[in-house]
Amino acid sequence: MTTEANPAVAQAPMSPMPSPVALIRTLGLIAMIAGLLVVLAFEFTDPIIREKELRALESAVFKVIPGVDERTDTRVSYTLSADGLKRLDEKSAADANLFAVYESSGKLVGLAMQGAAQGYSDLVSTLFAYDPKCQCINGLTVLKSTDTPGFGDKKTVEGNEKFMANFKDLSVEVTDDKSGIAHPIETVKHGTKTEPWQVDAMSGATISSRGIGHGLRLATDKLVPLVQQRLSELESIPKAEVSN
Amino acid sequence: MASPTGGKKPITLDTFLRGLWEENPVFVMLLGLCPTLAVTNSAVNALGMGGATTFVLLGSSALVSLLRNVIPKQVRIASYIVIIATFVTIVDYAIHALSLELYAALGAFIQLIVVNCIILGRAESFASKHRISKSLVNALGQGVGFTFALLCLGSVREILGSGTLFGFPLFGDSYQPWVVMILPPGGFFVTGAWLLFFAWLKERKQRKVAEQEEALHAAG
Repeated sequence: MTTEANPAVAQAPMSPMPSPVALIRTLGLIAMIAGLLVVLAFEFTDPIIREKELRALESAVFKVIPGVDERTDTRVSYTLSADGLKRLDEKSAADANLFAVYESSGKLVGLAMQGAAQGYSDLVSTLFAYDPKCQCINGLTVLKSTDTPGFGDKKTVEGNEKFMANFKDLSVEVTDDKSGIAHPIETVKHGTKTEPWQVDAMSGATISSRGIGHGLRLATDKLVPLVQQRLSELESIPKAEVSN
Repeated sequence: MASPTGGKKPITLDTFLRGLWEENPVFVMLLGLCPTLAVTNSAVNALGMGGATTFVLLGSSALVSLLRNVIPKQVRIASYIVIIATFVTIVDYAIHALSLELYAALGAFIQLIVVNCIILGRAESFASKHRISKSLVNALGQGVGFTFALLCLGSVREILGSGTLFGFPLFGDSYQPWVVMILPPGGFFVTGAWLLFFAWLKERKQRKVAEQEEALHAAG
């Protein structure tokens, strides 16, 4: 890093060295002012940031699950693991790995999960809808992609109708014992898709396509068998809980 | 440390305009080129980065100027960096709270304002020698000058690279975007073109002044 030439500083005779205590006192004062300002800024902005992130997540979940009525339906966030299904309150919704949308009657409308894998320049993060009845993915939105603009960025990916058509009825059937995926998702070269569990890559953006496909595979391999095992718990929740 | 005379001079329009034109951080001093090239792929990003840098310039200049008689020379750079980092953290939180999209688009370049030499340069060469009002006016001039430069780049790159300006389409669906302009090489091309343009303006002005002086000599 360069700074502007400052002959005044370079040529000025150095004043007598202050005592170490004076130097530490000055640095302490500056650190105290800095700490105070940072804490004030954090306290003021943190609730706003959390609220905005929550709204953005809710909007993405409502957008990706087909047939959602934003006025009446409710989103519920869960963490799902081999240890069980845990419902999260709104404050910790960002830690969820499974989102469900329920009608006002408590009936399940659809499920959404997040996928993330390395793209061309960084992680490509997506949110996709999973339909437990057809055991398929039926919607996808890109949450974050810093891949090359015009090739693998969010706008280009979501504007590519042929590629987005991959995520209608993309098969993620579980095995008979519900312990795994029968045919894990795989991304194939543009124009070579032959199976319902394959993702046909975008022409010119194969690495971004693979990132998206691999993110889906990682998430579905881990979560879909668990969803199928606990489907009865997810399919409906008490009406009173929907309004909470 | 306050200079014996520097702080006493009155604030003039020149104190503000210097940063905007004569000492423009990007087009004249070629400072802060890292964010200049990296985030100017759209006009909104350019404005966001310009606004954030201006805020940090104003905040750090004010605090450095206020504390100029307290900070010993031996620890001045460490002190300035802590002060600048404080305002960068504040602006980081503020942008995150204002717009998640802008925050995602600017990415790590908000935090990297800490090492933007325009800000440390202002603290060292101006705010540490002048009273707060003058430092604020000078910082505002530099901030507006930096924002102006980013906007010049961001507008051209967005128009050519996406066919839009501030997100509004300009040429219709038939326009084939010139994608290279919103990629890193586009930053270099457009910066180079603007530098050529400003160098040409400067040369033309100097030529006119020389011609006028020659005419005056001939008349005299």
